[in-house]
Amino acid sequence: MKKLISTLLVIMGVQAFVMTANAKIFNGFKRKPASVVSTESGPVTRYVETEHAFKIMIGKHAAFYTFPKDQNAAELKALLDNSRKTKKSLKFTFDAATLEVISIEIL
Amino acid sequence: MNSYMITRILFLALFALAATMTIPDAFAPGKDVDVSVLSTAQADRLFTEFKSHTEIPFNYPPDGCYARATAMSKIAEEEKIEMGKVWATGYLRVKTKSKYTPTIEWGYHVAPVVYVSDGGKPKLMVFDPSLFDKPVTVDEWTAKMNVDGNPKPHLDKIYYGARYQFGPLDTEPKKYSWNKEDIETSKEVMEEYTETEKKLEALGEGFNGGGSFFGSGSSGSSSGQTGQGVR
Repeated sequence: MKKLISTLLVIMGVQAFVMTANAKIFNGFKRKPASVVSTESGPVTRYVETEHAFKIMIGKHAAFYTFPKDQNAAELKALLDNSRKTKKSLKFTFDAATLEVISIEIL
Repeated sequence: MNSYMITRILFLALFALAATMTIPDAFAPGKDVDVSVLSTAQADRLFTEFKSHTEIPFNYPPDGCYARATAMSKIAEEEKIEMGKVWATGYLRVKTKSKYTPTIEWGYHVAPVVYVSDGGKPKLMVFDPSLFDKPVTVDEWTAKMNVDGNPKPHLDKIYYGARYQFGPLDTEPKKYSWNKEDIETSKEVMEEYTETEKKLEALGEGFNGGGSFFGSGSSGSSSGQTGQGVR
């Protein structure tokens, strides 16, 4: 019985972790008041790291989308590497004029 | 069949043969792709025709070159013109006239090509209405994507392929005919970006506010990096 309960707790814990992971959103640039916002989803195909930003390519897109570096840069870098390796899609919400990324969501 | 008919058929066959040249096919190393040879007048007319297709979002250059190149190649094919495609890969940066997006950065760029001849040696010309007002040589095309900035722009590779190819070399195999999924994706991307184009123009952020979409310079410093305003 104890084993069953502990197994259930582990499963619930894993589920809670997965749910948290699924809901993870990285916030980037603030949305400008009068702007056009678009979304694209796809795996990361390539990214370039500069001093202040990540320049990210997704799916078949030719553009580099810009995401600002902040205190979560290491975590984001791990996510980008993982998406590129596993082909797991990420959802990018961005300013359609500047291609500045407002958020990256794990799907 | 009389001798006149036979002569005419032979003439047309010879004309058809003479009307194509080849480009190396990066998607099938060692093989070539047939590409039409047009006169300057025919090339200009084709370029003007491309620009007249309002369903192709030439005024939204930040992305979608793969969809625009496919759409143009299909239009040309309907007129029995065989286009190839040219890809440039690296860290590419172009200057625009938009004050909101002074520069655009691409990991690759693609556009359709044909040979153009005025009686002399045919030149391979790129048709890219999102960047130019007329067909340009491959050198002129790549020079446009070399605007200085951080990170420093660089051209890794230029290669060619058949009109049927959709994405860059490292993302797909050799294609011998149109792929239904590519055509669908192309349509979806163009519809999405045409909408974006309209919304931006409504906000006064359109990319064609100053007539030509892009500045005439193909190099020089870029004061407006897209990475500005880092929180």
